[in-house]
Amino acid sequence: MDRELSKNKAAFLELFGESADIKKKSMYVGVERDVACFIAYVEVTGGSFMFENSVVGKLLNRLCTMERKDIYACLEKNALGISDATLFETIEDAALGLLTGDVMLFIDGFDKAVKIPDKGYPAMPVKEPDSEKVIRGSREGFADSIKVNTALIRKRLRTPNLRVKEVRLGTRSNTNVDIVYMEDLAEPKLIKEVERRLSRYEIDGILDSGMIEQLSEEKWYSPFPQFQTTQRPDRAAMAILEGRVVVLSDNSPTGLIVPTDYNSFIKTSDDYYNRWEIASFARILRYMAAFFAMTLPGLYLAVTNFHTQVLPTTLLLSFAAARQGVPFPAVVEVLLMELSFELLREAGVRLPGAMGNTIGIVGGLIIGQAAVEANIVSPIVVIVVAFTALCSFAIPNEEFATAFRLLKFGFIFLCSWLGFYGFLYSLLLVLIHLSHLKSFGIPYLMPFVGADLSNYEDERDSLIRQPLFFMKRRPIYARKEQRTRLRRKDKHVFKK
Amino acid sequence: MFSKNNKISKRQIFRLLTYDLLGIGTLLLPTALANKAGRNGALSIGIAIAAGVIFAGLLGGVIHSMQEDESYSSYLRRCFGKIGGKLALLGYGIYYLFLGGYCTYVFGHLIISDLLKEQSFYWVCAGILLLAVYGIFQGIEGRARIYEILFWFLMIPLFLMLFFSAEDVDIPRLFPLYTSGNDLGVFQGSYMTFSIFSLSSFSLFLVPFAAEKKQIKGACMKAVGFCGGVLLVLYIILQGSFGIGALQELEYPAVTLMSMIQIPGGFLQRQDALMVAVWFYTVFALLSSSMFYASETVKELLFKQKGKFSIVLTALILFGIGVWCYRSKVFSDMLLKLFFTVATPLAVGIPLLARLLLGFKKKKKHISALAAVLCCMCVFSGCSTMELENRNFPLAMGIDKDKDECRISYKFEDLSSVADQNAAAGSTTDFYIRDKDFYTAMSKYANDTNKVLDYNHMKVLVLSKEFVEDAKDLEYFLDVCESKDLIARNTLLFLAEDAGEILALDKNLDRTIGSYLEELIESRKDYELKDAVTLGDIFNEIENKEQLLLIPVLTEKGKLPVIESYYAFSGGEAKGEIDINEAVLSYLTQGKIKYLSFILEDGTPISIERIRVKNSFSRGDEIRYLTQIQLEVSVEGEKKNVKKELTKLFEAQLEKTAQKLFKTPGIDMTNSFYRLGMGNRKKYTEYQNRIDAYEKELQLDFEVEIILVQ
Repeated sequence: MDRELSKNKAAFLELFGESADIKKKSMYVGVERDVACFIAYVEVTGGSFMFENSVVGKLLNRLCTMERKDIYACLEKNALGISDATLFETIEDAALGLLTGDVMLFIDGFDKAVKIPDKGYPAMPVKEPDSEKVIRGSREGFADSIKVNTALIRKRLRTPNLRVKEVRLGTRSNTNVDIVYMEDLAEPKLIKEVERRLSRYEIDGILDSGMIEQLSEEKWYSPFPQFQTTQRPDRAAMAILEGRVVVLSDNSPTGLIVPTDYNSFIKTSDDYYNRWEIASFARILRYMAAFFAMTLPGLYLAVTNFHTQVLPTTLLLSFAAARQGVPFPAVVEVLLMELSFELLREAGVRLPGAMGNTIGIVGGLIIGQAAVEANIVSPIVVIVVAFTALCSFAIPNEEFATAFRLLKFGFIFLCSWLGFYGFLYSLLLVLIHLSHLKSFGIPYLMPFVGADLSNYEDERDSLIRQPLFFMKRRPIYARKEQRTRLRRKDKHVFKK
Repeated sequence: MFSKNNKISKRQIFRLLTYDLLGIGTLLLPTALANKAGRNGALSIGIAIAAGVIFAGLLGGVIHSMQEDESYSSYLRRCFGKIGGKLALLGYGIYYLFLGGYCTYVFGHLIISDLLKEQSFYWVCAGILLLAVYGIFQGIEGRARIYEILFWFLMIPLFLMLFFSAEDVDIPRLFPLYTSGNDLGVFQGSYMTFSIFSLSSFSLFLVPFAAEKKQIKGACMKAVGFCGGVLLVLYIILQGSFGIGALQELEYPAVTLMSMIQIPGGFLQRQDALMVAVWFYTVFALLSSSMFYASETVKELLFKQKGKFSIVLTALILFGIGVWCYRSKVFSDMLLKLFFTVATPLAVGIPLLARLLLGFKKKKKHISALAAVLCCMCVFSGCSTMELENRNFPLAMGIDKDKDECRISYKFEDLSSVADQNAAAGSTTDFYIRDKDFYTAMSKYANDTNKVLDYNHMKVLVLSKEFVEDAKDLEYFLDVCESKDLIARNTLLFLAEDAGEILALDKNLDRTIGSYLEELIESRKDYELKDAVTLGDIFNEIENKEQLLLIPVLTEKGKLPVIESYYAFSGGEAKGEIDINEAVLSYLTQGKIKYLSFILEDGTPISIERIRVKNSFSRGDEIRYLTQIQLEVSVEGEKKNVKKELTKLFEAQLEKTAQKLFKTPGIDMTNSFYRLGMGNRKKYTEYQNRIDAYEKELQLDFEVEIILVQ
């Protein structure tokens, strides 16, 4: 950076060229109005500078009351009375500073650029997340701004041990990515591994945390997510307290949690806010839902086409009666209904809120009913597909549920071809795959496998969520010496 | 980072070994044990458990003497020298290759005989080997995790099934517990069972993968104990449910047992297809273990660096052996023989010798592509899907002998009455077919109609007396049923003069005759459903030749089918018809009657609420069988000397009926031969398999005690 404003201005203008959204203003400050300055900002991120309620406006008004030498001294000592003013020594840094949504101020005779935060980029406010709804617990969800999101986590974990490491990803997007963790709980190796994986690729732009997730996964071909996603700050805070690491990306309301396992995807935040019996019951239901979301249509085909002896006679006869007159083989019938359901789901998601709901009702009730009446499908298949859909909706994590929805088609294919053998075969295939899957070194099927690694403590929070006072130890993710999370203080209270 | 990569815990080792031992053990061992040790099978298992635990101790000793991070192959080299070690390893390699190949054969055979009857054996085997290769590519830790997670998912249903089936165990079939003169059989049975337990020698190869090697011994002992326990319980249940004779003939008796279990609530008609999952996963575990250890030895001996190549090569060899076993029974039998005569001594001998040698030395010293292949399989295989609407489900079947032909009548449910809106076309509710024999007639159905018969939901089978009395026809029919696994063993059996005519009475009923007859038996208060005769009982009796079966005979009365007499089937032969009173008295002496009511000649109504029966054989040279019956009787109104009168009446009736039935049709109505093993070991040994000679010598005594209650 040069002391001469004209040179800095020229270099700066050259860097940005003719960008219509970059506002550049030359003006004069100082008592004598003899100190030339140059202000640049992205349109809408800066306020109206003359107004008293704008940070930059207040600053400029103040600079107009100072002598030239006082201006330089004030800038050098960071005595502007603005908490987040930053000095940059190169034009490139200054340009990057401008792109974060702040105002850049260049002053003649001063060889640094000053970054002044003002309105910043427009962003969605904090609101209730669309997914991961809870009955009990906070309604706050992550917003688009990474700063808001880290603040939401810190609001819940008010300890100096909470660390936020910032890295920039994307050579053109320069997206801020924060690695949030608890200094004394998270394994240092884990943090290093997260950093290593984040820096593994050079990419032009990161527009959502989903891109980071895909680039950092160990097994790209697996349908199962190896990062847990959340839109809830309380969920993220809970993960940090378990010694896990949360990765936040700017412009994304979805945080990534690592490491993760199958069990974590089945849990919800309110599992810990509700009584243990209710939480356990809901969890068992969700486990069953996950199983049936993947297997039910396949099982139906295996049983009706191959192993009719399994069903009670009356049920089988009503199945057979329902199939009378249906022109398609059962597998085509199931596939038709499943694909129709997926179409309805996709249409429902893409359409605006009220219309999305309507399409679900129209699809589910009217098309289903019409298809049965036209003898295109049998009523039992509608029931099977509807129940499967219900099961997939009961899985709390959308990405995780998608894996089951995809695998369901594999089950349909193998069961319609090989009956119950196909069912057992596909189940074994999925199991072999899951048993080899790891998320940052954690077996995916923890704590149902390898529970000995945590001395079987993690099993307390698996299919059954034991009462909170039994869950004294942190899961395996936390450092070994920091596993205790709950201790009773009034041990002798009953002896009094 | 968190998990110990390629290291497995004690729990994982235990579950891995349990799967290895349990599958093949429960699948093949009961039949082999029944053939060798007979009723002493349980004793053989007990001895084998003890031997297995001792063997696990020996393995523990070997593992203990292995150095830190030393593999078993290095250990063998240390013990036997370079060449000796390689030879020992070669022995193991060959053993595991053939074991894996045999498992492939058993797996494929189980699937095509119990799950996918029309599927190709080759594709089933190829598919499962591919899956095993995929699993092994991922390393042992993942494999251990699979069995760790599957363990209780399979064991809980298995235990539940064993629990429900325990109700069907006939205690007399378990006796006598130990028969002398069969010591060799007991020893052979023990050795065979121990051979299965000797598969725990896999644990020697697990040392480099174990989180703590000292835990392997404990896991081994636990696995042997656990599998031994399950095997013992299963064997007792199988013996008690089928009888030794039938058990000797069954191919996979544990799977057959699963098809007969009735679980409360009636949620499932038959569970065998679902329960095959237990053997699917356990046999797969052994197959996969054999493949893993075989490929490890192949790698060690031939291709030091090419791990994946040795796995693929091993899989190809296993496939070849599996196919060879399938095509040649001589070869599969030879493999089984080699398993007992060569492989087991090898599995025990090598570690034992190594342990001894090392001790001696010490003294001296010191002193992928899965998806593509699946697609190919899809293209090449003949899919065997049969849609529901293309099947017909007979709920009742009647078989008559008509001159020299076999006439089959079927009764189906009228689907239009089940769901009238979709079944507009109407459904056929009965069908008759005839040909020279049962199999030809049955096969003709597929040609004459556009549907395939699915016998899985058949409730009742009505056979004509003439058909049953022709031993050749009956035997042929049972052979066809067994070989084609056609009709469920728990199908209720009835006889009739003309089975077709009885089935035709269906038109007078408000439901199909199949359901009607099933309800007729179920709703009876006087005896339990489990005592009703099923097709499975006939199968068992043909082999066991040990008891009296009374099959209800149906006749028409008021246009309805009713039971007015019973047909005696004893010692594996059709004996003849007896009237209903004789049948009731026979059931009474066997303790199968729960409730009885009748009217005396003077019109006094008698109701017997509680019946206790005690049977015993007398000690001595002659065969005297005493039946003591205690009846709690309630009499309506006041009647003098009723107690004495009833005692006299019952005793006289029992004596008279017993004598009559001895003469015609020549049966022992007390079914005492069935209990002989439990009651008199000496006489059992003398008359074993000679029921006719036994009945000639038999003398029956009856004692009736009447207790009057208000």
